[in-house]
Amino acid sequence: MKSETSDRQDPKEDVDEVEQKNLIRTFNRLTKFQTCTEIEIRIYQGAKEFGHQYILFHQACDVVHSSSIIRTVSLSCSEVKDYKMDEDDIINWLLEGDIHFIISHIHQGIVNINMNKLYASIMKLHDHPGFPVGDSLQCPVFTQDKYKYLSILMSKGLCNPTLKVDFLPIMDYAALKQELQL
Amino acid sequence: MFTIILSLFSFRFIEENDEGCGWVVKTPFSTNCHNMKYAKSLDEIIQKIKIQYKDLYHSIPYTMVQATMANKKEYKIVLFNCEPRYISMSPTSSRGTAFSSITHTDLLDFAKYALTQFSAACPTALVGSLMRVDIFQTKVGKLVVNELESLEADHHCGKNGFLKAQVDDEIRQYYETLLRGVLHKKHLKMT
Repeated sequence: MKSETSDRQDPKEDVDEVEQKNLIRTFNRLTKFQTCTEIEIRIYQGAKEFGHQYILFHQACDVVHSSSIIRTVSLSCSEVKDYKMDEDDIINWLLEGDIHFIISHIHQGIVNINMNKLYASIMKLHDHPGFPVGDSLQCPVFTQDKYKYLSILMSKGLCNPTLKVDFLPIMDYAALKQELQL
Repeated sequence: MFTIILSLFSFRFIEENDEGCGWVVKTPFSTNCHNMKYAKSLDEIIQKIKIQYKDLYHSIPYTMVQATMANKKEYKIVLFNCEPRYISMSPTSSRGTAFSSITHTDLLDFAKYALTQFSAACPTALVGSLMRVDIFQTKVGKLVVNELESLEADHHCGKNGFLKAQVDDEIRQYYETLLRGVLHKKHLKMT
């Protein structure tokens, strides 16, 4: 898994990166059918087989499938971990289908995902057919950017007073403590 | 030297928002109380923030501090397309004292009002399908939203299982409509 602090000079890192790309290629091959006359819907489902809306979504697909040639391919968070996918890999995988559907929070259950990077990368789906698209990809409930939606509610007196503490490269805890007491 | 950027709201935060039960330091991008830490004092708040920073700095951009509610009872209101349907019977909702002076109708109305206000301020928000509004009551009796949840919202309904079944059916139809719409937009052959 790549991280922002990766030392690109380390040869071991290069090997890991090659291995990671091979794993992703393998995964893509595994999920690619030989004939592609159908419409491929790529789904980010979250927890394998247990995403809260997984069954309901697939039941909807079954209804639509009776009148249209579609096939679905799913990606779970355990596969993201197994194939060492990073933020861009997940979004690129969704982009490679004809249609994308995200039916679970992408970041859930995956450690070492950088949220800023993931939700910047997700905007590549802005004009790709599927759900969600456009500016809805930044919906703070969908992304679970909690302060973003709480601050909207807070401005209307509808939520618990909430203090946001930004994680900065260097934290000044003495100043933070002072601010909390002021 | 980097400066700590805090919202203006931080001023007198501890003094003005104390429920008398300590504080909770919780992270965004998480569910089911993941990464949530409780603190009793200002020093402990700082200590918990330090722990979260050490563990999560490379993953998440911030954390949050809130008062721990004196009344631990949390009502989870299930809505579909911004219309309140029922109060979810989750295992956590049995803790604490019920909001005895608040009728369930008032709770459902508050959830709808909060979600409508949010959606008006954030027009591209995805509120057309299942949403859950989690509500606490402060020690002075005010209703406040604790959390909004959508895709991963547990929406158990206890004995009234038919209400959940009804919402599930609507979620299914919502996805079906979305799928047909996307396929139609792509000018793909539909019979």
